[in-house]
Amino acid sequence: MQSVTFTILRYDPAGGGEPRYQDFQVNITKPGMMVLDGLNQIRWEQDGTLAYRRSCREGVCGSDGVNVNGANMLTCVTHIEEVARKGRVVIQPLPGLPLIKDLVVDLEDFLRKYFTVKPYLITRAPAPDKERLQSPAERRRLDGLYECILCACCSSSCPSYWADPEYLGPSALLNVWRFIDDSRDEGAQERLDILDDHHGAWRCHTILNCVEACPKGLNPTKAITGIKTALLKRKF
Amino acid sequence: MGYLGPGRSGAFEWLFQRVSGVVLLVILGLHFILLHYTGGGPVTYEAVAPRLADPYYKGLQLLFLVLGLYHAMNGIKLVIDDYVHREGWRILLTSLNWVVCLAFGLFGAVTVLTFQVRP
Repeated sequence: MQSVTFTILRYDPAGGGEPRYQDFQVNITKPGMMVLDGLNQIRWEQDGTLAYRRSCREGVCGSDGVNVNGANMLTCVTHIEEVARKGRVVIQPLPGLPLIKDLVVDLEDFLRKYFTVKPYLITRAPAPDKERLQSPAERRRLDGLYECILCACCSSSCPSYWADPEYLGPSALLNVWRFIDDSRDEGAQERLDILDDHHGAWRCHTILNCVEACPKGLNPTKAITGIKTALLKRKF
Repeated sequence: MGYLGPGRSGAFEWLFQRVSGVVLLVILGLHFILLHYTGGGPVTYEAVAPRLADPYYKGLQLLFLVLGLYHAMNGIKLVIDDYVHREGWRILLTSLNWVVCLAFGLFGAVTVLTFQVRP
């Protein structure tokens, strides 16, 4: 593989035109090049107007979620040869989110939903002198929940999220379950009040796209099942 | 875009979809057993009609009908909610869903309830 064609969705809000696709040739200069390396090569050597987000380039900051050949992923931890089909990689912005420019989407609403569910420790008891203790078993319950990097790959892959603009989405629901299921947290009831809504946990129809999309291998659907079980136990 | 939802939390719909699903499986099994493994002999009007006229069997059939229609309609509504994004189409298809469901319900109920053995 000497070079790969990157077909990238371009959109310039200042230009006034419709979004369109543009082809670029990316030279494979070293083994193991990531999709982000390809985007960098285009921006640095071919077209400085290409807009995309990136920061840590090692799958921790969650800046560079995009849609590559139809699936949401992080460009910095995805090898080009892993996703290229017949020497081509089609890159689009994350679906279902307002487009700002090229591959940059507006995450305002996505993050607003994250803050809606109170993603922080709520306690009534006064803080102890040292840290709040937790047994190893209680701590293990948070594995698979705390690792979320808010890249929006899951929520923007969810048909329920596309269809219902008010739906909290898998990301916010995974992050709220991380606190509800935390033995140190005492805010479960006020959070469950928010979630017991047709835009909340009940909007999830177990389509499981979020599980496929998550670049950290987390399982938002499982977290939502936890929420639904907690809601049912409280209700019926 | 307006949201064409139930105006409620959806908790009951979620739970009852599961409950009705399990009950439907049980009734379906019962239905197969009754139809294929009881009675024996040739399937004639004289053999089948008394069963269809039996009030307990009618009750079972009505339960089957109501739960089956609820389960199917609720499922289709969720598919419409998720995949039909244009409001006009959503209203049309949701209304159609209701009409078809009520028509089948009425048709089925009349068929089951009014059945009598003709000599």
